[in-house]
This record gives sequence, C-alpha cells and structure tokens, in this order.
Amino acid sequence: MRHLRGYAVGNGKETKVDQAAVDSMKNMLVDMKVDVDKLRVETPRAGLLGQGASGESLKSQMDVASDRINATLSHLSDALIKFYEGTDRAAKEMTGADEDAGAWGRAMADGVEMVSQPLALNVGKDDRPDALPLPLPFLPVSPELLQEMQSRAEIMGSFSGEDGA
Amino acid sequence: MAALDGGGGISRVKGPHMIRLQQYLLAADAADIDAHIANWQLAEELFTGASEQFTALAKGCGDAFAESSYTAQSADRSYKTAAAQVREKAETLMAARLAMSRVAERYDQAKKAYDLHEGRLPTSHGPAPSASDPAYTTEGYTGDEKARRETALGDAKAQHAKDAQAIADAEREAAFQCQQIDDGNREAEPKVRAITEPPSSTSPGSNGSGSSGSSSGGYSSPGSRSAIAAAQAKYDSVNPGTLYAEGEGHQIRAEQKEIIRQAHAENIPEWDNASGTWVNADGSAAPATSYASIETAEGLAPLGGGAGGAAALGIGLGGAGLAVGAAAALRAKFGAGAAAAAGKVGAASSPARAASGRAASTAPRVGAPGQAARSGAGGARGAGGRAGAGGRAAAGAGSRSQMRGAGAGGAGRGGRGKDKQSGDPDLDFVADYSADYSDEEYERLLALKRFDDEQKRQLRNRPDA
Repeated sequence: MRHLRGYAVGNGKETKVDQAAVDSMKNMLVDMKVDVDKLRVETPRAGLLGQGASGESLKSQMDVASDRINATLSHLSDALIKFYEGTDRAAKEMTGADEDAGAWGRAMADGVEMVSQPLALNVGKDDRPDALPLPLPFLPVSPELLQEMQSRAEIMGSFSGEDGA
Repeated sequence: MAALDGGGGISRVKGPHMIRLQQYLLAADAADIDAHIANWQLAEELFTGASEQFTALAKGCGDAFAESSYTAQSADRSYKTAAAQVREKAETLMAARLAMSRVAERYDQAKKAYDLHEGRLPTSHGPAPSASDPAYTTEGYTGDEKARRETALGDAKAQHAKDAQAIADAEREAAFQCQQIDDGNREAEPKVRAITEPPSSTSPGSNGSGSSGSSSGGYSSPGSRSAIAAAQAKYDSVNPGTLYAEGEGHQIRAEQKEIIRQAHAENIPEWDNASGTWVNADGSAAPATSYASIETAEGLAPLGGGAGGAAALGIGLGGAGLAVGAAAALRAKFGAGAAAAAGKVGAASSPARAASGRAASTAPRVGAPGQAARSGAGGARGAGGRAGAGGRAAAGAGSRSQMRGAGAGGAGRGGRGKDKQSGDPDLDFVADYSADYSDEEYERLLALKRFDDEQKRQLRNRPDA
C-alpha cells in the first residue's frame, strides 16, 4: 500500500485528500456517537405482561432483548470510534504522515466487525458514557452536556495524542 | 369457583376463566407495554438513522479521498457494509416492536372486557333457590302468604338465573380473551427472540411449524400426552415377570398404568408443535376444552352460547354449593335411599319433578352440555377437560388446584361414565372410572344431576326469565 501513497492508481490523477470532506465525515461520526450514547432502553418492569405462562415467557424474552439492544448500541458506539479512527488515519496516511501503513484499514475492519454482530450476539457490558443521575454541584454543565462531552472525548480523544507521532 | 377481591374492594364471584384472565392481567398494562416499546422504537430509529449516515459516509469517501484510490474504495465498502448491518438490526427491532404493539392491543382489549364483565358479576352465588327452602316453602301457608312466598321464590330464581348468566357470559368472554392474549404472545415471541437468540440456535427447535414458542421452557410445559407416552414406553419396556432395579416388573407396570390413568384424568393440554395445535391426553385437538369450557358438577362442559352455557353453569358455577343444596333438598324430601332409588327411575318420573309438583311438559334435554361431557367415551375427556382449563397455564398446578378446590363436590365426577367394556384392556382402563366411585355414589350424583336439570328447565320455562 505504501507505493500508493500520494498517487492515484491508473488514471494518473494526483491522489489528494480533501481535508474538509474528511473533517465533515469525522464530525458526522462524532454526532452519531453522541446520539447513540444518549439512548438507553430500560428493562421492562416486573409483571408487565401479567402472570400468564405465555406472558411471562414473552416478558423474559423482552428483558433479554432490552439488554441486547443496549449492548448493541454500546458496540455501535465503539464501532464509531473505530470508523473515526480509520477515517482519520486514512487521511493521514494519504497525506504522508503515516507511520503504520494499513492501520486505518484495520480500524475500519474492526468497526465493520463490531456492527456486523447480530443483535443476539451483542452480549456484555454497556460501557457507553452515561449521564450522571445527579447534577454535580459547582459544575456549570448539565448531566446531558457532560455526557455529550464524554462521548466526544471518547471518539476524538482516543488517538488525538498520536497526531504528532 | 372463587371470589377474589376485584377492583374497588368488592369481591365478585368468578369462574375459573375469569380468575385466569385476572392473573393474565395482573399488573399488566397496555400503556406500559407501549411505553416500553417506544424505547425500542427509538433504538430502531437510531439504527435506521445510523444506516443512512453510514451510506452518506460511504458516499463521502469518494469526496474525501481520490475516488479511484484503494483507500476510497475500501472505506466506501466498509461504510456500506456497516450501513447494511445496522439496517438489518433496525428491521429486526421493527418486527419485534410491531409484534409487541399487537400484544399491547390484546392486553388492552382483554382488560376492557374483564372490567366490563367483572362489574356485572354477582357478589355471591349460592345454590339455586328451592321450593323446599324454609324461606320459600308454601307448605302450611295459604292465601296471600302463599302467593307472596311463590312470588319471592320466583324472583329469587330469576335473580339466580340472571347471576348465572352473567357468570357464564363473563366466563365465555374471559376464555376468549385468555386465548387472544396467549395467541398474541405466541405470535410475538419469535420476533422478540430474533433479538435475543442467534439465528442458528432456533433451527433445532423449529420443526416446520415455525413457532418457536415450544423452545421457550416456560411456555409449553409438557402435558398429559407426553406423560402418557413416557409411561407407556416404560410400561412396554418392562417384563412383568422380571426383577428390575426399581422393583418387580409387574409392580412397575402397575405404577405406569396408574400414571397413565392419572394423566388421562388430568388431561393437561399440551402444545403439539408438529400439528400446531393443543392436544388432549388422547391426542385429539384441545382448544375448545382448554379455553371455552366451564367446570360443572359433572365435569367440564363446553361453553355454548346463551341458555346452554347458562345451563352448564347452573350446576357448575353454583359449584359445590348448588350440588350440596340439591343434595340437602333431596334428603329432606325423600331420604337418601329414596333419592338413590329414584335416581334409577327414568326421566319421566324424575324425583325433582315430583318434588316441585310441576308437570313434566318439557322434552328432556338430552344434549345438555354436562350430560354430553359425562356420557360415553366423552367421560374420559370430560373429566380431563376439567383439569385442562387450568392446566393450560404453565402455573398449572396452582390454577388446577384452585379449580379443584373451587369445584369441590364437582371435581372428579366427570369421568363417571357407563362405558361399555370393549374387551381391549388398554381402552378399558382409560375410559372406565368405576373403581373411583361406588354405584351408590354414582346414583346419588345422577339424582342430583336430574334435580338440577329440572330446576334449570323450570327457570328456562319461566315466562319472565
């Protein structure tokens, strides 16, 4: 891949990166992550479907389903980080700043893998940034805003330190 | 028969299906289901939105990177895959959400029906008023007092019939609503399972019927049919003359035979995945008995419409009380021996008719549900169906015992049938319950039944009823 850097394949057109377009893609991913992190699906309350056998059976499936949906959202959130990273790295590689050719491709592949899991296989902890249930005193931001800041920090901060590397 | 504390602190007399529906609806709330599903919808919209955004990002790759470059093509492909994957999740969620909203609808309808009928149920329902009751008896009274007593008895009977009708209507509606809820839940469950179970894991359970309800442990607990099959297999595998680890062969066979007999008597309907229906212990289709049926003193009778349903109720829902009341009346009039003897006499000179002093003008109603359930081979099923209504619920033990307790005098009588011995031992032990009851007991019950039938007939024939 290194041989591709800076040059288009085939048609002789000079390969370039439109930084503005890359930034807008990255912003889109950040906004998506903020949205994804906000939604929480609560577990249905006990007895929601009564005490019939079929109702209880369905209710137990609903409980699990709620977990799966949250875990899927969490994975989507993580995948967005990977997509952001992949897009960012791709732009850097093409502008000649890469030290690790192909890293962007791996990040993208990770992202695809994360969103490709069926809902049912999305098990595990929901580790998205959560809005604090109580507003922090002395902190001039609402819990929601704090959560959004966290979301943005997670996706943008994950490798901002590598900018100079 | 049990009076549970309904809404408003007034306890109403409820039949087994109303009680069952009450359990179905306990703490369930359509609005809450909708509220929860709204969350799913948000997730669905989020996935849909994410899919669109991924598609837009795929397009953006061409702008951001030189269009023909490997980078642009590869990133484009990644985003397109992501878009498709996320859209698939949105679709899965949508299917589940739509199914659940139908479930909510059914709960809503059932709740409305329940509330409507509960309000109409009587707060108490005992034996039918009888002319032999000291409060109504005309013996020793003449003139105005006699007329007053006759009117009072007539009014009390009319009221009793009205109550019985209300209970019957409620039972029929409740049975239907239970079925609606069960069907709705059963249809919705595979859709929700699409979220919770990986696609491959459903394949062993799906055997053509497409219903994965069977793979849920709680939903279809094994019923009498599989119990019989298991016991029969065990029975067949044991040689009577051999000593086994569990005991001697003939003992084991006797035990299995007993298990089979009990399973037939219980007749807990079972979901047959292959045919997609509920089946009785004998393999016949069971939906009618498991939902729209009602416990009578004679066993379980299907709930017909109108007067037929009410007729079944006259015995059934009066439940033990009515039978006991009738027994007391019979004893008072004839003494036990006379009643038993009278029971043997044909319908033309039924003791009840003689007791009430009315002409036997109405044609005997042979087709009365209670009788139908008792007669012939129906006896086995009638007896089982009694348990079946409750047995359908997975918490079968609880509801069954409740019904059994409620049915009190009624429980167990359904099986009594004068079945012809077919000579085939397998068939005979299935259908013959004569070991359970003495002939005296049977005659007594028959007399009770005739008495009750006569009372119902009179009620029906009342011009104002």
